[in-house]
Amino acid sequence: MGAPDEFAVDVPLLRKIAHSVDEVGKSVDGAVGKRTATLTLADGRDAGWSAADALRSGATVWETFLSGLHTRICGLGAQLSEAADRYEQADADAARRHRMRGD
Amino acid sequence: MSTLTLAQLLAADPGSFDAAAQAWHALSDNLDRAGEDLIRGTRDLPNAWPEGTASQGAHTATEAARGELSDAYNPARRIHQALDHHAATLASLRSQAQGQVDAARQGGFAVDVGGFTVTPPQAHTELAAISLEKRAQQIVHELSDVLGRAQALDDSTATAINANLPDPVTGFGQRALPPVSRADLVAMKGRDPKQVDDWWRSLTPEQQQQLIRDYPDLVGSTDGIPCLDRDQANRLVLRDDRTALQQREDWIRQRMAWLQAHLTGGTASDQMAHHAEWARLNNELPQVEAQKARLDRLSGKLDSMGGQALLLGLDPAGDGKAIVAVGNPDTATHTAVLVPGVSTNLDGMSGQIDRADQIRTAADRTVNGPGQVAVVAWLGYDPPQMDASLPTAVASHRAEVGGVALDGFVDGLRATHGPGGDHITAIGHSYGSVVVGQAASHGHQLAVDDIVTAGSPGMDVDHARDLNVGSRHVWIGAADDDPIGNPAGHAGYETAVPIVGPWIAQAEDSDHGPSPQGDDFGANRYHVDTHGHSGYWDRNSQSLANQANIVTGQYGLVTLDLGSRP
Repeated sequence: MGAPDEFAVDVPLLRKIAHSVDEVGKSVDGAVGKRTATLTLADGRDAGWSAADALRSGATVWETFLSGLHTRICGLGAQLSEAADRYEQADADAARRHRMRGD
Repeated sequence: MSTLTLAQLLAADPGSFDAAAQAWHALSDNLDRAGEDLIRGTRDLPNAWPEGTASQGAHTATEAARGELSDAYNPARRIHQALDHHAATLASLRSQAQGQVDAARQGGFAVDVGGFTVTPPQAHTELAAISLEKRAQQIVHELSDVLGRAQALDDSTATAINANLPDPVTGFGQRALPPVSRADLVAMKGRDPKQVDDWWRSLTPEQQQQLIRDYPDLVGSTDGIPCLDRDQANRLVLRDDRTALQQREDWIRQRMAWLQAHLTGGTASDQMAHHAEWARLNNELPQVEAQKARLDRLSGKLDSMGGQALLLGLDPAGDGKAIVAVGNPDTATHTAVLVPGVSTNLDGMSGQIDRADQIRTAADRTVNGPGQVAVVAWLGYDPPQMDASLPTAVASHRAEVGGVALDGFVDGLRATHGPGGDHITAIGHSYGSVVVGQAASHGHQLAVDDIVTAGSPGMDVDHARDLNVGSRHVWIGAADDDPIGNPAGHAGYETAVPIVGPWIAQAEDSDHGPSPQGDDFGANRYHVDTHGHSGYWDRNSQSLANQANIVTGQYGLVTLDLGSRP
C-alpha cells in the first residue's frame, strides 16, 4: 500500500472492516489448529487402504493451504488497519497544522 | 488400483474414517461461515475507502480472499462426503465379510484370512468331499466379491480426496464461480426440501450471498434453505417493501399537492381528470400508510427481539403472512410450530411472536440451559378474518391450502436441521388446529412428533388415530369457558356474538369434525387452568407448562385430564 490518497475515507468504518477481516483470518487459523489432528487418521488399523494414504498426504496439503490462507487474510486485515492508522494520523496532522496557523 | 487384502478389510476401523469425515464436515462448515463473514464484513469497503490506487489494491486483495475462501468450501465438503460414504460402506462390507468368515468356520471350514484360502472339513465320502470343495470355492467367491467392492470403494475414496486437493501455488483459485440464475432458484422451489438443502449446500458462500442479494423473495420463501439464510433474505424483502411503500407515499403526497394546485386551472376536462385522480390517490394514501405501519411494527418487533428472532417468511400482500422463529430451529433440539387461527394477520404478528416467546421461555426452564428450544409463530397461510371472509371459517378450504404449506415448511425444518436431536411439535390454536389436522391427514404426512391443540373447533378428522403421529402423541386442551374449544360453549355464540355468532356456532358444532375434546376422539387431554379462548399462554399457568413439557418431550411432567402418555 502506498501513501494515503487524497479522497474521503471513513476511518472508523475502515477500521471496523479491518477488524472483521482479521477475525475471519483467525477463524481460518482456528479451523487449522483445532481440526488438523482429526482431518487425517490416527495410525492404526488402516494399513493397505489407499484412501487412508490419500487422506494423510491430502490433509498435509490442506493444512499448508489453510495456513497460507490464514496468513493472507490476516495480512489483508493488517493492511487495512495500517491504512486506517495512516489516514487517522494524516487527519490529526492536518488538524494540528490548522491550529498552528490559527485557522 | 487398491491392493487391499481380506485381512486388511477385516481389521479396518470404520470409526476412524467416520471421525475424519466429521472433522472435514466441521472444516467445510467453518469455511462456509468464514466466507459469509468475509463477504458481510467487507461489503462496505467501497464506501469506507472509495478511491485511489491503494484503495484499488485493497479491493483487489479482498476480492481474491473472498474467492479463495469461497472456492475452498466445496472441495472440503466433497472430501467430507467421500469419507462419510466410505465409513458407512466400509462398516457394511466389513460386517458382511466377517459374517461370511464366521459362518464358514461354524460350518467346519478353515478360513485363513491372511492367505485368503478356505479349506473344507474332512469328508467321509468322495461325493461329500466334492460338495464341500464346491462350497469352499463358493465361499472364496463370495468373499472375493465383498473384497472387490471394498477395493472399489477404496479407489473411489482415494480418487475423491486427490481430486479435491489445493494446488500448492494457486490453491483452488480466486475466481468466483458464475452467478446462479433466477431460473435455477425457481426450479428448486417446491421440490423435496432435502433436495433443496443439498443443492443450497453445494453452492459456494459467494453464490449463496448472490442469490440472497438478487432474489431475496425466492430465497426467503423456499423450504429447504437454512433458517439463517432465509432470515437474511426476508429482512431484505422487509426493507425493500418498506422502501417501496415510502417512495409510493412520497410520490402520492407530491402528486396530490400538485393536483390540489391545479384543481381549478385548465379546461373543464382537465379539472375533472384532476379531481378524479386526486380522489383516487386520497383513497390509496391511507392504505399505503397502513401497509407501511404494519411493516414498521413487524420490523420494530424483530428489532426488539435482538438476535433471538428469525424472519423465515414474509408476504405483505392481502392480509399479510409472516413466519417468525424465536430461536434457531436448525440448531434447536426441540422446535414448536405455533399455527394461529381466525382473524390473525400481519397486524397481529407481534402477539403471535409474544406467544411463541412465552412457550420458548417456559420450555427453556424444562431443559438444561437456553438455546435448545425454538418456537415458530407460523402465519404461513391465509386465515379467515373478521370481515367478509369470516364465513370461510366454517369451511376447510383455507385450512387445506394452509395444511399443504405447513407440511412443506416442517419438511424444510427437518431438511435443514443440523446434527443432534430434532423433536418437532405442531401447536394449533383455534382454526389453526384445523390447519394442523389437514397437514397431518388427508394424504399428508406432517413430519412432527407431537400435535397440540388449544381451543380447537375440530381437526377435520374423526379420531386422533387419523392424525399421522398416533393418538398418544395428540394432546388436546380447552378452557371450560372457551366457547370455541369447549363444545358446551358453542351455542352461546348464537346469542353472544352479533351477526356472525351463528356462523361461528355452526363452525364449532359440525363443520370441522367432532370436537377433539370429546372422550370418543381418543386423544390425550392436558389440564388447562386458564380462561377464555386466548389465555393458553398466560405466564406461570399450567396450560403453558403442559405445552412446554410436550414441546420438550417430557411427557411424564404433563398433567392429564384424560388419556395416557406415550
